[in-house]
Amino acid sequence: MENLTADQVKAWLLEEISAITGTDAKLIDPSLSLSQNGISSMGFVELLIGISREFKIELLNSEISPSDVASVNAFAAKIARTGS
Amino acid sequence: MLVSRRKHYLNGIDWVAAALNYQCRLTPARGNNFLIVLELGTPFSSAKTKRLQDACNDLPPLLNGRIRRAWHLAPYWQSGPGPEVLFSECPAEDNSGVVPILQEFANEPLPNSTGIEIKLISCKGSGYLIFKFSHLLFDGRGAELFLRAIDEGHSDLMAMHPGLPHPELNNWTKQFQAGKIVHRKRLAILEKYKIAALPSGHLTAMPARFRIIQLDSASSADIQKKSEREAGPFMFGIYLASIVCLCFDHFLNLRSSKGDMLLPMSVDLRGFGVPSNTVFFNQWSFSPLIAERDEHRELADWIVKLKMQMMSNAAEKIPQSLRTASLLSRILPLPIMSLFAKNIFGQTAGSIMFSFVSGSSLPPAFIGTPLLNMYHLPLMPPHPGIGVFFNSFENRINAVISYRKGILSEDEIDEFTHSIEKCMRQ
Repeated sequence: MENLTADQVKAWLLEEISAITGTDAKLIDPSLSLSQNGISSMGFVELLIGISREFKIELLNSEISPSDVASVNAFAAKIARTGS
Repeated sequence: MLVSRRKHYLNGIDWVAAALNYQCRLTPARGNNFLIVLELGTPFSSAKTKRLQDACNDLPPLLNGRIRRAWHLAPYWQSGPGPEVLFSECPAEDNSGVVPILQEFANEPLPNSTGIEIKLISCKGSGYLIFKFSHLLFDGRGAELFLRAIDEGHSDLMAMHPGLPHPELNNWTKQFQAGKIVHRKRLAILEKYKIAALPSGHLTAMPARFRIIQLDSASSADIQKKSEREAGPFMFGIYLASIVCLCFDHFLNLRSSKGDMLLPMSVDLRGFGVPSNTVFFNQWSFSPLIAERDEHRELADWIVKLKMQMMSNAAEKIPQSLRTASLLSRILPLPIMSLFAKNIFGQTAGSIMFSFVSGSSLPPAFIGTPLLNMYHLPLMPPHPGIGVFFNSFENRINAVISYRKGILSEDEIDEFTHSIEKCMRQ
């Protein structure tokens, strides 16, 4: 995928987290970690499935470090990096 | 107390739980029960005991009931008169005397039709508060939420999702579609794999036994860091399942048992935030994980294999489909449902059961008494007769190996327990 920016991914992530957790997207704080925003193990797997569908990126096969999920911003940056 | 005559219709997973309960009818406990053990930091005073008993006297009639069938065959829970929750106390010399008491208590049947019983074990300066629950009415997370509600003094427990309000006899197309997904998955497993299982035909009336592994906060932090490093974030459940695969594979090799392993991994379908209105009845499903034993594998290999399957099961919506499809199974009488549940994957329901209840719903104190730890003790149904169940409480990780006496020799279970503990502490 060309020209995938962290901001584009972040906008998509906020919507997806909102759908998974049932929280209003406006109330999700992108500076907080995924778990602080209500993502559980199963929720994370759902996110990975969504990422695979939307961006054609198989993140499960690549290295995801704890720092990559330390915030929604960091996770968006990781997806953008992997997809570029 | 007013007697509620409301019908609480059972969902499909409740019917699976009822089938497992039927499988346990000849065991000493006469049902599929489980314990939640609260390890107390200070003695539980008589004033607190009275407060707990008072809370129990005020429990809704739902806690005392039985399964009936409506004219349209949908099973429902019919509440009886107000429950009489049995509360007993016994002393223990020290902590080493607790496990035999737990085993004895776990193997005693629940009194009458009441879905809960309580025992207080007093030790010097501390104690254990043990709650026995029937799986007909509670799953593990629901039982934790129930205890939290007791602690918080909730008066309206009945509002906490008391079963299905209607029999769910509509949406047939959706249920059949879900059934198709589950059936395809089942056939795919049956066609490709021969599932290894320990001989369990002789266990129908055997008592339940346990081994308990408790990690302190430091060791619990270590294993979680290791899991993040080796399996990635949010994959702790898969990391623990991989440990079970590694150890059980080794054990099966020692027995020269052939076949692949199947772990039916429990999945909590409550979703985000664990809503407190899902206290009663069963809200779980499972994700079947196959562990191929065609070659020697290290922990890292099992992690990759299981992770991929968890992902594909989630993508295919297997746990959700199983829950929806199981609504159809409620037409089956319990003896037939029990046979189906026992033999769902050929001659087995799985090689070894596995679950991880993460992020406890209980606060660090119960009725003002600090809790040192909390763990679940599920009684394994006679088939497959063995399971490993993990939970976390206040940054501590616990593992319980639950089995039916006779499925393994005591030496074998010692070795299996030791190998799990060694992996957890490495």
